[in-house]
Order: sequence, then C-alpha cells, then structure tokens
Amino acid sequence: MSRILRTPFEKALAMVLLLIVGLFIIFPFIYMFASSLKESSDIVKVPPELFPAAPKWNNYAEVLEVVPIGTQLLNSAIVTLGVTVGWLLTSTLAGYAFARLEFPGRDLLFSAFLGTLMVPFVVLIVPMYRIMVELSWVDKLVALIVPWVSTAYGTFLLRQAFMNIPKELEEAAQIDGAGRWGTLFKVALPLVGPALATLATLAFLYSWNSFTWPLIIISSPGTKVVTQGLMDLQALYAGTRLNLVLAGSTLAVAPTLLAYLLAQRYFIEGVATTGLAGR
Amino acid sequence: MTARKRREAFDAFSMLAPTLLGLLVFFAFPLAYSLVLSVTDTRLFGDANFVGLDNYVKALGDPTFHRALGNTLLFSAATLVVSVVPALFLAVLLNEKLPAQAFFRGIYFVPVVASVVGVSLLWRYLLNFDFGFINYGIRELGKVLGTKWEGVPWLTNSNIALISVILVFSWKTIGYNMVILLSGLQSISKPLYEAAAIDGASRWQAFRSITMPMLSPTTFFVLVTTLINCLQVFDIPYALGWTRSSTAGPADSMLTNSVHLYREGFINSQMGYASALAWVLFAIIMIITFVQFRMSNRWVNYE
Repeated sequence: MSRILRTPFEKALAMVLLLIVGLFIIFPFIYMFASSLKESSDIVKVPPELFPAAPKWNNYAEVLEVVPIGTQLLNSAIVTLGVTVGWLLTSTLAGYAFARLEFPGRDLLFSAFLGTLMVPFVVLIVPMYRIMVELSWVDKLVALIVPWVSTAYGTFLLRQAFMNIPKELEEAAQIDGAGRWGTLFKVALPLVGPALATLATLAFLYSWNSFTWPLIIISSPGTKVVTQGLMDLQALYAGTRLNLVLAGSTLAVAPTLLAYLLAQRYFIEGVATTGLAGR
Repeated sequence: MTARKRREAFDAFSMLAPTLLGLLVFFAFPLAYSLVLSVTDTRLFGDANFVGLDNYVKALGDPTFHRALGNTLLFSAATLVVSVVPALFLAVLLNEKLPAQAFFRGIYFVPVVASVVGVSLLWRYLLNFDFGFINYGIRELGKVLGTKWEGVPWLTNSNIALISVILVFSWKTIGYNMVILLSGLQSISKPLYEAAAIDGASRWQAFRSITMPMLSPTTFFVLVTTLINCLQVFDIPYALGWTRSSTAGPADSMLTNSVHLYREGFINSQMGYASALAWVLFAIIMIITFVQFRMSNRWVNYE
C-alpha cells in the first residue's frame, strides 16, 4: 500500500480540504460574473453581497457601447487566428525537417532553436520596438502577428510528435512514389493530430492573453486588443462603474474559459509539456 | 554530397525557411541590437551616441533599480514558497484514490488559462479595503473570534501591496505547478511502494524515502521555471498597481525589474538605459538559474 490516506476519516478530511481550496480558486470568477450583472452601487455595498438582486444583462450592451471593446475583441480574435495558423504552419514544416530529414548542421541548429527559449522577452523588447518603427508596423495589428509566428516551442513539440510515428509508414509512401512534401502532408501530418491540437491550444492561450507587447506597440483605441481595452476600461470607470469593468473582464476571460471547458485535455497536456502558459 | 543528399538538404532548408527567417529577423537580430543599444544613449527620437558602459554603471547605482530588484527578489522568493508548496500538497492529495479527482484538477487549472489582465482587475476589487470580499471575510472571522479586525489595506499600503502581487500570482499558477507535480507523482513506479510496505515502512517513511527523491526532478523543474517566470514578472504588478502618474503600486511598492524597464524605456524614453537594464536582469536570471543547477545535485535524484 502506497497510499498516504488510509482511514475513511482522513479521506473525508482531504475531500473537505480539496473542496475549500477549489472554492477559493474558483470564487473570483463567480464574483466577476455575478458582479458584472449588478448595479454599480451594489458592488461597493458593505457588507458585500455576492449575487445581484435582479441580473442586469444590459451592462454588457452598455460596455460594448461606451468603449470600443467589441472592436478590441475582434482584434484579439484576428491576432489569435493569425498567430495560431502561423504556428501550425511553421512548426509543422520545421518540426518535420528536424525529425526526418538529414542536412548539414542539423543538431547544431536544433540546439540554437532551444537556446532561444532561454532569453527573456524583456531583452528583445526595445530593439523589437525599433524594428517595428523601421517597418512602419507601429500601431498595426500585423506587429502582433508576423513577429510571433516563428516558434521554437512549436518546432520542438512537432519534432517530438513526428519522431514518435513509425518511420515505416512514410517509407512505404515514398516507395509508392510520394515525394518528401507529399509524404509530410498526406502521411505524416494526419498522424500528429493531437500535437497540432495541443499547439493550437497554446497559440490561442498565448495570443489571446498577451498584454506586454500590445501595450508597447499599439496605441489607438480601435487597434488595441482586448487586454489593453480592459486596462483603459479600468482607468475610465474604476471609480464609478465597476459593473462595466467587470462585464468587460468577463467578456475578455470567457473565450479561453469556454475553450478550456470544451478541450480540457489539450490545455492541460499542452501546458504541462511545454511550460508556456506560466508566462 | 550526392545529388540525393543535396536534394534532401534543399528540402529541409525550404521547410525550415519560414521559421529560420522569423527567428533571424525577430530574435537573433534584436538580441544583438539590444546589446548595441545598451551602450548608447538612444531615446525614442533623435540621434544616439556611444556611451560605453555608462548605462550599466548607472543601473548599478540607481536607487530605483535597487528598489525594483529588491521587490523582484522578495516577490520571487515568497512566490516559490506560496505557489509551489500548496501545489505539492494538492498534487499529493490528488494522487490518492479520491472521488472527483479529475474534477478538482480541472478546477485548480482554471486560473492558468484566464487572461492575466482580466483576473488582476477583478482581484483589485476583491482586495479593496472597504467593499472587497477578502476583507469582509477577515472582519467576519474577527467577529467569530470575538475581536475587532479592521481588514488589511491590500493595495493601498506600500508595505503590503507586494504581498497582494504574491497572492494573485500564486493563485494564478498553483494549478499549473500542481498539474506538473501530479504527472511526476503518477510516474513513480508502484512496486517501489509495495517493496517498502513489505519491509514494514510507515507511510511517512515511504513518502520521505520514495516519493520525495523520486519526485525531485519534477520539483526541480517546477522551482526553476517558477523562479524564471517570477524574475520577469510584468503583467500582474502592472495590472494591479500601475497608476496614472506611472508608479507601480503605492510608492512604487509593486515595481519589479520588468515594470521598471518598461517605464524607463517607454515612458521616460530612455531606450539605451532600458536595454542595459534588460541585460542586467538577464544576467541575474542566468546566475540564479546556474546556482539552482549547481545546488541541484545535492538534492535532485537523477537516475
């Protein structure tokens, strides 16, 4: 017996503990959603009440009206889609080359790829800004997409996935006359579906939630992404209309939470294998 | 090289081209450029001059940099304890055969996927002195215990604000660390425990002499990645504490190195200085990580 908990009492105690921690972890989200449906004056009431007397769904319509958060949600969606498609394409190609093809300098190049993961983003932030100035990409969504479609993480993830499929399948296809590119897209790619799903999940999380880089490079309200829109909303209404700030937060947090509910496995696996979402 | 090999290399580099090009233009070049900027007095606009190591000398004597470094180190050390220890505890409990294990794992992971800015804003209200739920809970607890507790000025007192950053960061990352530690626990082979049980080991002996050493590589991974993330922390202190007068929290009490760098580079337009600050931070991260690796062979069990 390897178990730490042996008696039913210990197990019950553990369950109670897990439940309390779970409540503590999930409570802020309940608070956020419940408060987003309140009158502003009810949020600042002492002692506080969790649920609104009468849910005020109109807060959502109002927040979409008073700040361009609808446009900003759309901007985030465009950026997320662009980065995700980019990650899938570049990582598939590069991952396959590293996994299956032989070329001079392969191992050295792969080490260099991994080395990029060690450099903190703050080291790149000032020069990146200046590069964007030179490219005239400042305050444009392209600055949030193109620089981020090359990823050493994705290459690493897809390389592992391609290495795990039996070589014989690809060799059979090549004997049948399929070229290298044909083999990649017709034989190998369909077999790495789970890795692609994991990568897409990570790209989605990473770009939807990104904040530091947009903060530096985007300044027009109509071009900002939703995380920036939230900070503006907070600056505008923190003193007077908390319900609108929390309705905005709910709108910004909901997409990743819903996606997580639907595809929990890929989120947990993706994060556990790469450590990316820790940022 | 034969024609076939040449053809293969050509295909390989064609496949690598998009990634290589991206990493050259948006990684390798800015990396080198950053080093160049750090020895100039580059500002947002206008000409730049070579200033040698002045920026680095300035950083080492800059009281604001010292403040930011102190905050960052204190934050990181505290977060290692406040995030990793509960994560380990939860992982051990979830590794037991309890009902609803997957449900709890799923719940604990929710903050990991949520937008940092979104959750930081709602924590601003939860931690509000007057109407926040956290102080409400503290006052109610005080009543139960028969004393009068006023509540804690979480975000408004410069001695306490950093604690709030630690709490929110830990709340956000416990689930992540827990998932990694749990997968580490699940990969420890069962026969080890069976052998220990036959030898009459108590459960605590088994935990100390099997679980802890077998888990140590995973624990080490969690400690290293958490520390690296902590030392670079930007968005939580920014979203919790940034003010219109460009301070981070009351009296800069939430100023971390990354926030300091952002302020110097993009608010004060000192881009050369900000680049030097970035390299100093990079060096500090490298040194701390190196020390962690050196110390690891004393306690991490590599098979």
